[in-house]
Amino acid sequence: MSRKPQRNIFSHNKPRGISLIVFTLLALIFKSVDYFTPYLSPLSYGIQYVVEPIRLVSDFPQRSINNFDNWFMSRQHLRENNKKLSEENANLKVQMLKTLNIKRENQRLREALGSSAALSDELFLAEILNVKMSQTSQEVIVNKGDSHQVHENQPVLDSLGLMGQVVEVWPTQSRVMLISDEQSEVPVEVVRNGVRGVLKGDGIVNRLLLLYIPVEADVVQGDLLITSGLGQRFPKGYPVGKVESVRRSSNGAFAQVVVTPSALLNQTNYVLLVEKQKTATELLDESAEPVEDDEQEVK
Amino acid sequence: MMLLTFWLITAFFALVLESLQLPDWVDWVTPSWLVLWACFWAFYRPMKNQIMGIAIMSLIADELMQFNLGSHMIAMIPSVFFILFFYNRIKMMSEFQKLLIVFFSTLWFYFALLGLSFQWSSFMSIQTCFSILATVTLWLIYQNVLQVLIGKVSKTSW
Repeated sequence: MSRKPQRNIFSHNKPRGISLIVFTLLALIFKSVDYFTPYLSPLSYGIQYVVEPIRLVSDFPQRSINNFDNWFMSRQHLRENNKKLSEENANLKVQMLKTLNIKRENQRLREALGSSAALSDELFLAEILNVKMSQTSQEVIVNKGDSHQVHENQPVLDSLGLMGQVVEVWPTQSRVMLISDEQSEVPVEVVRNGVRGVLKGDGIVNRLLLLYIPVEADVVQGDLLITSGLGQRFPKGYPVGKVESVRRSSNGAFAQVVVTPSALLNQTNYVLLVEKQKTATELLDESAEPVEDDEQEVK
Repeated sequence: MMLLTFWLITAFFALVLESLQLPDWVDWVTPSWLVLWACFWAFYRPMKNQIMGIAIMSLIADELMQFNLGSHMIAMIPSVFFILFFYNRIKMMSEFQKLLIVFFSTLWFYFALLGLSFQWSSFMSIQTCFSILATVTLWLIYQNVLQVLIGKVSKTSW
């Protein structure tokens, strides 16, 4: 009886010169195609199934360090925290009751005007798994992906303001480009007077640049900037940052405006993904009851 | 089969260590685990399809570390090819000579990853110099530990 020879994959096999040429060419083609076109996205998406478990393991130490404080938090500290949160909750409930009336009135007015402007956004929570902060890119990886209906260009917030937008979606994770990234541009307006501009990242976490603000425009230090909703990528009305300094030179057409972001770009562990925007009509279509439901919840 | 599993485990840990989130000051002395891994297997237990294995590993590394696909392939394959091509000569070399090959492999790795992406300031930085030094320094420990483990793995059969 002949025995099938056992294949030993671990044995030296002198590679042919052609293999170096083939693989180098392949690498160069991959690099160029991936840089200039989206044709390799399906391949990238497939590789993510292998990459995601590796990323979870490699982020484990950092997450453990972050949770370390919580594990050893004293009872006294927890009580104080709980009390503070209860007070905050009570205050927010009162504020919400006031807002509900305004919201109802606003809906009716918009309906009367036939406006389709967005009023309400659905938000869902995601945890930051990985952070990449360098001069060339400012990104975070979050633990929500395709399986959670995350999509590209989805705005991302924290409790204080706009953080960025989803730029790549993988099976269970997504890549978020922060507003401080050099490639990020957000249409904004000044709350005080509605002056519009574009907020651009500068590659530094706590520094953004407000572009296209004419020298004579009324923008001063301390002005709050919110998303203007232009371009329809970012929902209108979310705080983005505060004007840190304004420099006007006589020979330039535009002022140099430096802005500090409202969101804690390099401190927060959780972010909110804006699911979708509901228009006034949609909200009213949902029936007149929801507002009452909201009131009951608040009570 | 056991050796292949060990190959995969070391590949997994190389990727995990390469993408580990560490404090900034540790980043200065973080070696290139992928170079260590690739050099080790090329020096001591080359596979028949070693270059193909490296190519697949490179694609995973690209996705893991947010590089364009193909970046790690350019950074790793020439070094591994060189080692495999001159395998019989390199096998007879002293530890110091092997260390030099690891040094040049690491240098090429960073040049291909950063230099060819026109990130010259990152490539010429002191941090990259420290990383290259850390890789070379760690090589001696890394290859010894893995050789001991391979010795144990080879004796075990499934």
